[in-house]
Amino acid sequence: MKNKENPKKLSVFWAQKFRTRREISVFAKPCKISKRSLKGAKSRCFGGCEFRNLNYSNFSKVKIGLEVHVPLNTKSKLFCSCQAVPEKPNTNVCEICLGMPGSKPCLNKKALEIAIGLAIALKSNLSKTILFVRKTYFYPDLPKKYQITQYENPVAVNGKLKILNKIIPLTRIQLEEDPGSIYHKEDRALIDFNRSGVPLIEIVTEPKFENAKEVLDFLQRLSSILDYLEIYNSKDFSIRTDINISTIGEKVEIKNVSGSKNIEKAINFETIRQNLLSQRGEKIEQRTMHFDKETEKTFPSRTKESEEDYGYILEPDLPIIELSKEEILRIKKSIPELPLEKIERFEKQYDLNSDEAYVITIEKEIADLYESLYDKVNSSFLKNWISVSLKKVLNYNNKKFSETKIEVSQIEKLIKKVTSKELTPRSAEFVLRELVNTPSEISIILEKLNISKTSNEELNSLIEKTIRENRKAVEDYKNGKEKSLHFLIGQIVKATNGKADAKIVKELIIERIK
Amino acid sequence: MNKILKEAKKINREYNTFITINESFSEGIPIVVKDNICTLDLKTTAGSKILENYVPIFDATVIKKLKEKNFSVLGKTTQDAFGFGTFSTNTELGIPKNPFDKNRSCGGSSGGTAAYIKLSENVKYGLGQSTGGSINCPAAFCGVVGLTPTYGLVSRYGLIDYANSFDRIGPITKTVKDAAELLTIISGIDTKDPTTQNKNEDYTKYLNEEIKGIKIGIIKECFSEKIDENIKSGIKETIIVLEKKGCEIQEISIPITQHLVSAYYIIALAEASTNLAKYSGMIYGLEEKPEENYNEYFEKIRKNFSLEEKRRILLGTFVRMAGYKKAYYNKAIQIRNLAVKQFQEIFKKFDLLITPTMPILPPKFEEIEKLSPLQTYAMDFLTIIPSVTGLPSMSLPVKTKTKLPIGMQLIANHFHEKNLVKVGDAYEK
Repeated sequence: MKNKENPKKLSVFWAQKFRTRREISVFAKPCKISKRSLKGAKSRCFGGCEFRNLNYSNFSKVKIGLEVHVPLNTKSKLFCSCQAVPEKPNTNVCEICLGMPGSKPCLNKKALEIAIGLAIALKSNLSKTILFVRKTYFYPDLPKKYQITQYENPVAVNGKLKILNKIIPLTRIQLEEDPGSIYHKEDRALIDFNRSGVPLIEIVTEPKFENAKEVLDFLQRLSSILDYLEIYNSKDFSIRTDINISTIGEKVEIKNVSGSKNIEKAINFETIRQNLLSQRGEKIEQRTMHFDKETEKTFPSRTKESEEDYGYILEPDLPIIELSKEEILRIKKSIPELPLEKIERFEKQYDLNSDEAYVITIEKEIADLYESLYDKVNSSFLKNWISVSLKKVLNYNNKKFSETKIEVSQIEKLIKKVTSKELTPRSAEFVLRELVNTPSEISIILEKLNISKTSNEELNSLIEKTIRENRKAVEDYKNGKEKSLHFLIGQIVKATNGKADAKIVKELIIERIK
Repeated sequence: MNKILKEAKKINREYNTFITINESFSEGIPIVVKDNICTLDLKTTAGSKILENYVPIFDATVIKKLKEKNFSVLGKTTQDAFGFGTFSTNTELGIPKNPFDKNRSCGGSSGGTAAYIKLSENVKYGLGQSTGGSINCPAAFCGVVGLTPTYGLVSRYGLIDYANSFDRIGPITKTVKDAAELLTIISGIDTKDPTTQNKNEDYTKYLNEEIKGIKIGIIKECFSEKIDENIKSGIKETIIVLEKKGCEIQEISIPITQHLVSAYYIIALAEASTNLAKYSGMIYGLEEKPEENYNEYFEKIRKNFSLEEKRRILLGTFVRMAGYKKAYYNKAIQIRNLAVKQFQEIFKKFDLLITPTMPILPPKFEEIEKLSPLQTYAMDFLTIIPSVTGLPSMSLPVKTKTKLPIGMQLIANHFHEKNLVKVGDAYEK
């Protein structure tokens, strides 16, 4: 019997294949963008003209709509019991997520509940009956060659999300399975099916965005809601966004952009491209593009296809779902206080303005931190310290507060050290940087960094010394040259390795040379 | 060698009943299984070239249940590839021959199972699978009992899909008693198939029952001039027997039965075209060395589909495409829903409905070659009635003077298999 599959050791077999670089499916000449086709695309888009020749004032208004794909953090995949995490390629797979003949999907109820919860959080209308469909398209990473997704009767329709200056209407919220992932290696394409079947929530917005700033604000607020609901698997997968942009011509779709910087660049580039084309009297056709991270440009990927070409039919293996009022109520009750509600409460309860409240509540753990320290430390210092120092250090390390292992008590200690002038704000920031990356006791960090605040005695002798050695600067200051004072302060702070508080040094110097 | 295995080989040589004989079969109750039901470590081809060497990594739920009851799979039987056919002739992996006349068809698509059950002295249990009549048709042509359970009574997990909303696994056996025993084992809710329902019971308790007072409807539209005269008279005699046993017989007209063939083929092929999309030579099944880009490789593999497979993929893709979906797929779904409603009303007045199983006697292979695809599809119009509506049905061999067997189709209300068993068993005695 000729038998190409080794049935019992299937997953192991593949993993080995990957290890030895003998992949499951190897295709020479994969559909990949070569440098040459990039050049072609460039000339097609711009005919060689440069950005500096643009006439921005003639730019027409841009309309942007999004399709946001959020990978969920459920234990198992959407239609089978495989774990929904990456691991070694092709190890978290089974007959169902590989679409083997005879296997059937079975809906993960938890994923459905999550989708309903999010739909409620986004103030959507839940569908009375929920249907799944087969969307047929022939990509190598799609094992069944159809994706189980939703079309008519998705989980919910008509939601909304308030952003900085307007309300964005949400057309639909639906549940679907993720395909596998393709890796291009030299002239080959490798497929990893670990991602195949991971539950995704797709959120489709109306085309109401007018610029990248609004889009980014939307995504930030959305991801804040996802955090609050604790439903998004940010550790293993990224949120992927399809961006629909139209200026005066037909809609252009940029597929699969992730990361806010890329999204911003893709939108800006595509806006300029479309305006350029129209300024030159060319027609903008409906088509699918993709964003190339390296060149930071959008390129046409597929020929245009209308949506219905996917030949949707009802998924006959899954029964129609009808939710009872009790179930919906139960899910509703499990939803915690959401960012928007928290902002309103914080404004009232802690007398914050809306910007301050927004910055503090965008991450739930930071909002919790603020609330638990509010009575324990100087609250106005706390507010500023969170919105400036903490945010700065977190952003720099590209981490969320919840991802660090910092305890609330440590932050309390740190802030108290600053407010009692035991530490300078600058030193405290050094400590925070350490805490974010290598959590340990504050006292240990202080010892390690060798920063405990310089005593006044030391400081006075240092000031004496500096004044002695910089007679000219002192004279200059006395003659009204403010700059010289700063020079002196700088010398002293430098001599203490930044431990000295510039404000105090300034006062001491002025007193000394008055 | 094991006498059961020996017999299997002998019959297979003469009648092509198996695609794969389980060489390691040694003990347990022997059962023959249609080759589109997945068996762990035993080749499962669905009769197709593209899965010719496919060995599943799991057992279908029905196989699991049977193994727990000490059953052992003797072999995987010949069939139309993917169930696409009425005569078990649409396959490159062996065409089974009719036990009554080797020049004639066994019917399809579960032809191999039905033929083997008729021929074997040792094996009385077989598993068939029906989408549009693939259990009842070969049972009728081979003179055995075929029971197609209600959609949702038997798990489809591990069944290689033709059209998921129609596909059903069911017994093909020597007697109604065997069918009732087998159905009792394989039925029941399965967490791996969310379309199953918890409505199974012990069907053997309906054997040897009185059938006095059972209300039987004879569907008028199913005894038209399209039906072979021998079949009509054979069934009429049977109806008289049932009447004598105390059944109340009444004729009934159900006009919607005329439209079900179109509705069936539209929905079934729409689903089939998506089911067959997955055979792309990547994870399993036919594989070739990929030397070209993905689209070209995909094409290269799919050239191996047979003409009938290609025809059904094309038709099924067409009826669900933009611009045609409303006129075809959506309308067919409406007809189907309407038919289900109408039959639910009818079963308020009747316990059973009777039609012939097939409009013709088993045809010769040379006659089949002359049929156009459309003529072949039309042959299914009787078995399609319970297929579209998800109703349980049974093909029962009637006692006849003709040399060739005649099948009578009994149709019951959803999850009322007991009526099929009661009446079928009473008639057999």
